[in-house]
Amino acid sequence: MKLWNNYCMEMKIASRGFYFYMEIVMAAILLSVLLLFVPVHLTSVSEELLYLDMPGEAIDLLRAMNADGEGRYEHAGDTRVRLKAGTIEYYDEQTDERFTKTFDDKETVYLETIEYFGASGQKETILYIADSFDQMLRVTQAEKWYGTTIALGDDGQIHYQLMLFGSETQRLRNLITASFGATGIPALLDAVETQEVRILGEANTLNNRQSYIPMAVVLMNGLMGMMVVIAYLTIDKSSGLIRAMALTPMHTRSYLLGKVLVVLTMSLISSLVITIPVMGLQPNYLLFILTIALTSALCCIIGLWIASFFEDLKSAFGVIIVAMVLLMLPALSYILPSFAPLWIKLMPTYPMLQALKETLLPSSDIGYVLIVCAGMAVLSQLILLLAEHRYRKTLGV
Amino acid sequence: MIHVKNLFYSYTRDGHYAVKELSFDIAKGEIFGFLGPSGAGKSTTQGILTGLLPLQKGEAEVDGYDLHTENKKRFNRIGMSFEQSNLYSKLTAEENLRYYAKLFDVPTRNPRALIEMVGLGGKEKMKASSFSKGMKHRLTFARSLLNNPVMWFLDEPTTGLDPAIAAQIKEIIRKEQQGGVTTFLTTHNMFIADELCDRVAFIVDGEIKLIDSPKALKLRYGHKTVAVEYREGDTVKKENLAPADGQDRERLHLILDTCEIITMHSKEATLEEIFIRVTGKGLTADEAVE
Repeated sequence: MKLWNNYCMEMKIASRGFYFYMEIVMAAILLSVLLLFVPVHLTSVSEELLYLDMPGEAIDLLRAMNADGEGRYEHAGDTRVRLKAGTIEYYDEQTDERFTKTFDDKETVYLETIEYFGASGQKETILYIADSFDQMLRVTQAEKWYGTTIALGDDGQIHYQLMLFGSETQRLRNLITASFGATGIPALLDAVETQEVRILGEANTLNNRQSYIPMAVVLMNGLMGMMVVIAYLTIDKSSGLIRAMALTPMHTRSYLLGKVLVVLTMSLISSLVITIPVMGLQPNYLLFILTIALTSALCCIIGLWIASFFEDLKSAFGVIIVAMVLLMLPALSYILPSFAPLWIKLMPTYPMLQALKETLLPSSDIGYVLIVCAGMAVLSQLILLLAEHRYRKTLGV
Repeated sequence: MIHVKNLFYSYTRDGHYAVKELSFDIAKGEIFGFLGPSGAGKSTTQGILTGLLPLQKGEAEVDGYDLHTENKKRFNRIGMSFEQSNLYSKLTAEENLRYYAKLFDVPTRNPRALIEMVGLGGKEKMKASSFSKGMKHRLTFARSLLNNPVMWFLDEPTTGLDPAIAAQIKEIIRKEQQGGVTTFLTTHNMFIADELCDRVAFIVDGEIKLIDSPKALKLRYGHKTVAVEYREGDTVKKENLAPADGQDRERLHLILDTCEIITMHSKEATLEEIFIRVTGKGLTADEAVE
């Protein structure tokens, strides 16, 4: 009953303060960003600059081409590029021959532009056609697009010459050489044609936009919740309120949990504000809410423990930043699954992210999520005991 | 009501004690003043007795509860008015008291009546953040009475209050005493101690120098003096003379016989003067008095 009274009053007090609305505002901003700027499907459009060093008939044939069997080419309007005067140095990697070209004039050129749409209908490449080698050289330098000369050799074969920037790694150069080498392309195409692809079942993944939800919930709500709890506690400490609370029959645990529950409520609301519009009915919401609640509770209880060492928010600030940065590191493994060393997996935010992702998938691994939830519950209890001990030690009750 | 024996407390736990070897008893219904300069150990003693500081060494019993054992129920019978006002600034005066009242397991007083009692009537709906320092202090004082405490701890209860309000607060303290409330009052203000306390303890450097009633202390250590203002030739002079002292008595007679008296008052020794005489320390600063 005291916990409930405390929770109600803490909600009332919190609702009159800035921190209470911070999470909701952040959630609204994040939702807007996700809906307006993050595409559902991640596509990358590459831009390439071509110089076709071949007879006019061959060029006309290439220009007339509008499909390669899987995708399609579409002519777009010309692209304007401003070229500066200056000297360009370059060399041929195969012959090691060095060249220097000086261009005295500023120039504005209009490049014929062709867009390539892949089999899925997504735009994949934009090709710009340069009129001359020199123009390709200058545009390459001005726009930092990879330039390629496609030449028809005396042997009737097509030869490629790529204009790189010099900053590429040797591995990338080797790959490019292999891909464009005389024997590389046929072998590569052969390998693609003969590659057996098996679809093992329905794709159980999140789309690009949905994949941000676990990070938003853990990093924004969980870690921000931690910071808010530290703020609440240190404010109560510096104002002496915590001493007044200590001299009442209310148990330390009730007082501490009152704070946690306020932040947990806000985290739950803000998490749903972000999740429902993006995920719709796909997630297992029961499991999702359970995971958010435990994620938020654990983060808040870590905050309680941290706050027990400090008298005011200012003195706690350095530790808050360090704690937040450390707890954010597992997001790297979430974004780059190939980077998941053991020390990152041991951080509580790692299983939080993975479990939240599971709850959002079309087919969740309920067992895994429940194990993570049980782990978070046990860890929360342990840290709460530590925090409680600290507050009793420092307050005497 | 309070029993303390050989109480020691060290913040650093290294043998440097903030209070050492304190022993005293406080009877039910008594107003006991704990007097000393800043840093003397008043707040540490109060902290231990309220439970804000753990009992490290010695015996301490408050309202029948041994402080070695943690018991949250005892806070139903304790009230504490802090020197530093600690209120929820975003809540109104009434909300502050109503919230605090819900934390107790015993019937509590009407918050509005308490607000009225400390002279804040009509300001129930005002947020604590808009209160002046004195108003916050009064609200903190009122809050300490919410649970009808039988053991009341007051830390500088009249600090920062104007004389009229301070008199009102003193009147409330006296009234509570009549109702059987035991009061432990820490202050460096000797006037309030003199007016209110049944007994006082002088504490300096963590040690109690003496305990007695203000009246007994005045009898034991105080000397009555006469303050005389007189004209000698063209000069107006002032002197404090103790008639009990032979030399002073002769000087007083001489002045009366030879000079024109402008004013003359008899004066009793103040508690502050006695404190200085007994402890060799001033009350407003922790330094030796010449």
